[in-house]
Amino acid sequence: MSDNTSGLRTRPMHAAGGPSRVSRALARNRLGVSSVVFFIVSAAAPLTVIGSGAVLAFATTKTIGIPVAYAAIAVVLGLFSVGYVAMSRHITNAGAFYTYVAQGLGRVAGVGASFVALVAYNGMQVGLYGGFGGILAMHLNAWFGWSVDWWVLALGAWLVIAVLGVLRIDFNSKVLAVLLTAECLVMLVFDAVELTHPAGGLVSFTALDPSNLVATGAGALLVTAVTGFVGFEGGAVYAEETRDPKRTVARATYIAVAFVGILYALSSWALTVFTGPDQIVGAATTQSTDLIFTINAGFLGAWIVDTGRILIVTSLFAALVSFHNTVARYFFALGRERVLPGGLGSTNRRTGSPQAGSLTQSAIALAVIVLFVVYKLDPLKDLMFIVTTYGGLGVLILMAITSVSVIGYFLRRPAPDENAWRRVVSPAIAAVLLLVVLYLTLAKYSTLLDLPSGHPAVWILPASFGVAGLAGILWGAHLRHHRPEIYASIGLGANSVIGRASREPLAITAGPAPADRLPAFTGSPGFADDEGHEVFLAGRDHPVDPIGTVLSEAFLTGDIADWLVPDPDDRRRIYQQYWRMAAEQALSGAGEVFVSGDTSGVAVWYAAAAGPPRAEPPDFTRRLHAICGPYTERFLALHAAMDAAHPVRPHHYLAFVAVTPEQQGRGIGTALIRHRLQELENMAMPVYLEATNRRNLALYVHLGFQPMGTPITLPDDGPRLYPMWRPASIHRGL
Amino acid sequence: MTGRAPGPPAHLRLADEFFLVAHNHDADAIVPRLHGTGIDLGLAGALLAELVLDRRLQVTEGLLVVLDPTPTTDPLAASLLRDIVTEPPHSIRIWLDYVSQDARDKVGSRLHVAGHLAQVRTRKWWGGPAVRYRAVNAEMALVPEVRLHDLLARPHALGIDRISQEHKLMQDATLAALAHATGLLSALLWFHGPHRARSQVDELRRALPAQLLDLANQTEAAVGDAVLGRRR
Repeated sequence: MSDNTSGLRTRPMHAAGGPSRVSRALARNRLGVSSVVFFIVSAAAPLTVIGSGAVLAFATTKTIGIPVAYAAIAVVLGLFSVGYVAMSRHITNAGAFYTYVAQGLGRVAGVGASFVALVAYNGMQVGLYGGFGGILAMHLNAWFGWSVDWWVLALGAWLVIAVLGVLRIDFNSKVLAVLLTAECLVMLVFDAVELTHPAGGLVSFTALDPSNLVATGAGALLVTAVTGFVGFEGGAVYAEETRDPKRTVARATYIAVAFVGILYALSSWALTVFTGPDQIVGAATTQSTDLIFTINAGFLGAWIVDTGRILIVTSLFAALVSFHNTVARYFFALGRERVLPGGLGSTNRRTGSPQAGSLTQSAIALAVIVLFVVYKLDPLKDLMFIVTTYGGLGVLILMAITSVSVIGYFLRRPAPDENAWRRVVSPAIAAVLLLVVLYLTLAKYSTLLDLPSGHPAVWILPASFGVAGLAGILWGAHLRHHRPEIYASIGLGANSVIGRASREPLAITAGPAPADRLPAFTGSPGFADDEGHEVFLAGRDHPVDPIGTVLSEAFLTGDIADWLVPDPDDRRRIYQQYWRMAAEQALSGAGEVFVSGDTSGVAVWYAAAAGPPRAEPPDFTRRLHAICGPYTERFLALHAAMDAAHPVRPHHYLAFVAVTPEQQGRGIGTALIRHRLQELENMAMPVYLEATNRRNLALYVHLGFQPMGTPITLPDDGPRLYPMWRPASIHRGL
Repeated sequence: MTGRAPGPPAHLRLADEFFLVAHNHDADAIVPRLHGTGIDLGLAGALLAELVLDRRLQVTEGLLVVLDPTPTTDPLAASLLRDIVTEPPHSIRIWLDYVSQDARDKVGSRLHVAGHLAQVRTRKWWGGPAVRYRAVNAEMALVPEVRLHDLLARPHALGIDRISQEHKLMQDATLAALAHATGLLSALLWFHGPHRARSQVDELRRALPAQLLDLANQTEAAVGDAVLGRRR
C-alpha cells in the first residue's frame, strides 16, 4: 500500500533521464540574448533620435547638455531595468507597465497607470507622423524640387500603417535588421567625420560635462533623452519566449540600454565637437533636422548622405509601425480584461491582428494630425518634438510608478530567488532618480516647449497625465465596487479569461540531461533532491520509533483507515503499534528505508527479485491479534487481498511512501522515491505498488507507473486499491 | 485515395470537426477561415479535449493529469496520450503550445487517411509544389458546421442541461466553445444574428463540464497571448 496523500506532487521529473520531448520541441523556437537585443534596439530608431530628437533638443532648449543627458538616462534606465526585469519573471502580461502597477500597488492604481500609458504611447506614435511628414517633405524638396505639404505625406503614412495594422503585416525581421545595421553604420561614419573635423581643431568635451545636468533647462534635456529610449521596456514581453527566462531578458535589456546609450551620447556629442559647443544651438536652429546631413555632405560622398536621408525616413516609419502596434496591443489587453469595452479585445478573424485596438489608434492619430493641420502648427517643432517628448514624459511618470510598484510587489511576496539588490535597492534608487528627473522636467517644462512660463500649455500638458491617471483610478474604484469579476482580472491581459497567470515557467533544458546533475548516491550519508530535500538510506541501527510515528500519522486518515478501524481513538492506539511493527520489519534488513532529512517522510521498499517480498514479520498473525484485537479480521483481509494481487515477476515493491500531514504537498514524497526509481530503471528492474486513490494514481502515472489488472476491492464494501506497475524501461510504451 | 466511395459518414472526432469548420469548402481546395495561429491552437485544444471526452485525461488546476493511460483506438489521440503519460507534468498552456506546432498537419492527414480529404497538388505563386486539401465530399465536410448551426439556433430550454449525459452533445458544445475561444465563431454566425447566437454560446459554455470549459478558456488565453506576443 503506497500512501494516499504522501506529498507526491506533480513537478517536472524527467523519468526518461533526458530533457523532455516537449521541452526540446518548444526550446527550438526560443529566443536567445542577441535576438531580444535586436528586438529592443529596432524599436529605438537611432538615426531618428539623433537626426531629429537631439538636434531639435539643441534648437529648442538652447543648451548643449543633451549628450550627457543621454548618458545619464542610460544609467538611470539600467538601474530601473534591474527591478523591472526581476519582476517580469514573476508576472503574466509582462510587457505593459500597468501590469506592474496593478500587481505592486493594487489594481485601482493599475487602471490609472493603464490610462496614462495609453495617452503616453499614443503621443509617442502620433508625434512621429510630424517627423515623418516634415523630414520626407524636406528631402523631396532637396532631391526633386517637389514641394509637398508635410501632412499629405503624413496622411499617406497614416493610411499605410492603418492598413498594415489590421492586416498584421509586421516588418520582416531581416529587413529590419538590415535597416538597423545600416542606420548604425551611417551614424558611426558620421560620428567619425565629425570627430575628425573638430571646430577650431580642438575636440571639446564641454557637452559631456555633467555640470550641464544641473544647468537651467536640464529637465527638458532629460525628458528628451528618455523619449529616445522608449521601447527598451519591450524586452519583458519576450520573457516567456526565451531560452532562459531567468537571464536572457535581463542581459538583453542591459546590453540594449548600454548600446543605445553609448551610441546616442557619442553621436550627439560628435555634433557639438564639429560645430563647436558654442555654435551648435545656432546651427541646429537654422538647419533643423537636416543638420547632420549638411555637416557630413562636405566630407562624404553624396550617396552616403542620401542613404542616411533615406534611412531616417525608413527608421521613422518603422518606429511608427512599432508604436502603433504597442498601442493596439494595449487596447487589446485592456479590452480582454474588459477594463475598456470588450469589443477592443476582438481580433481580425483572418489575420489575427488586434483589429479594434489598431483601428482605434489610427482614429486617434488621424484626429491629432487633422488638428495640427487646421491650426497650422509646425510638423517638426510642434508635432514631432513636443508631442513625442510629451509621450516621453508620460513614460517617465510610468517608470517612476513602476519602480515603486516593484518594491511593493516584492515586499508582499517572498521571492527567495531574487536578492535584495533586485527586489529593493535598485528599484528604490531608480525611483528616486526618476522622480528627480520628473521634478526637473516639470520645473522646466516651459523651456521644452519654448514658451513663456506663464503659457497655459506649460501646465495643461503635464496635467493631462494627472487627469488620465485620476480618471483611471476612479474607473478602477468603480470596477472594484460594481464589477468585481472585471476588477479581479485587471493586469492579466489575455489571461483574464482564465483568471490567473497561465504558465508556470517551463524548465527548458537544451544542455545536459538533468539526470547527469543528480549527485552520486552512495547509500549514506545521503543526497539532496534539487529542491533541497535531503534523503538518507536508514541503516539497521536507525531508531524504529520515529519511522513508525511518520507511517502511523501519515496513514491515520483516509478511506482505508476508516475501513480498517472505524473508531478514531482505537485507530490511533492500534496504528501506533501496527506501524511500529511495520517499521521494525523494514529496518530488520528485509527492506530498504529512505528517510527525509528532518524525518518528515519515509519510503519503504522491499526487493522481490527472487520470490515474494518479506514485508511481514515471521510471527505476523500472532502479533496482529495482539495489537488489533477485534479489528484483526479486517487487517488480515487487507493483507490477503494485497498478497493475492501481488505480481510474481521479479520486481521491487514500493510498500509505503509516507509524509507527515503538515509537511505534505511540498514534494518530499517525490524526492524520497525518485532517486531509487532512477536507479532501478538503470538496473532495468520493474517496480510495483498499490495506490490508494485515484488522485494518487494520476500522480504515479507521471512517475512512469501504469495501472495494471483490476483494482483490488476490499470486502464488506471496502475501498479500492489500484495496483500499479512501472516497467523496466518506461520507453517500452503503454 | 480517390477511388474510395464515400461510405457511411464515419464518426468524426472533435479535432476533425474543428478542422472542417475552420476551412471553407466552396473552392477547389480548402481555404482557411481563421488566422493560422487560431487554427493551430484551436486544433491543439480540440485534440486535448478529445482525450478528456475519452476519459483519458483530467484537467485540474491548469494541469493535465492522466486518468487512464489505456491507448485510444484513434492512433493520433493514442500517440498524444503516450506523450502526455511519458512526459513530466506540464501546464495546459505548454501542452497547447507543443501540440499546436504540428496539429494542422496531423489532423489534416488524419482526415486524409479517413477518406474525408483528398490531396490537391498545386504550385505556390513563386513556384514550387504545394500540397493542399480538398473535401472529398463537400456536403459531408459541412456536417459539423450544420450541426453547430442547429445547436446555436436551438431554443434554450431544449437539451442544454443534458450536456453532461450525452457524449455527442458534449462534443458539439465543446466545438462551439473552441470556435468562440479562437474567434472562429464570427465566421459561422451569418445564418442568424450574432447577438442571439452569442447568448446561445454563453448558455452552452455555462452548461459545459468545468474541465472542457477550462480547456476552451486556456485556448482563448493562448490565442490572446499570441496576439500580444509579437512573434507568431
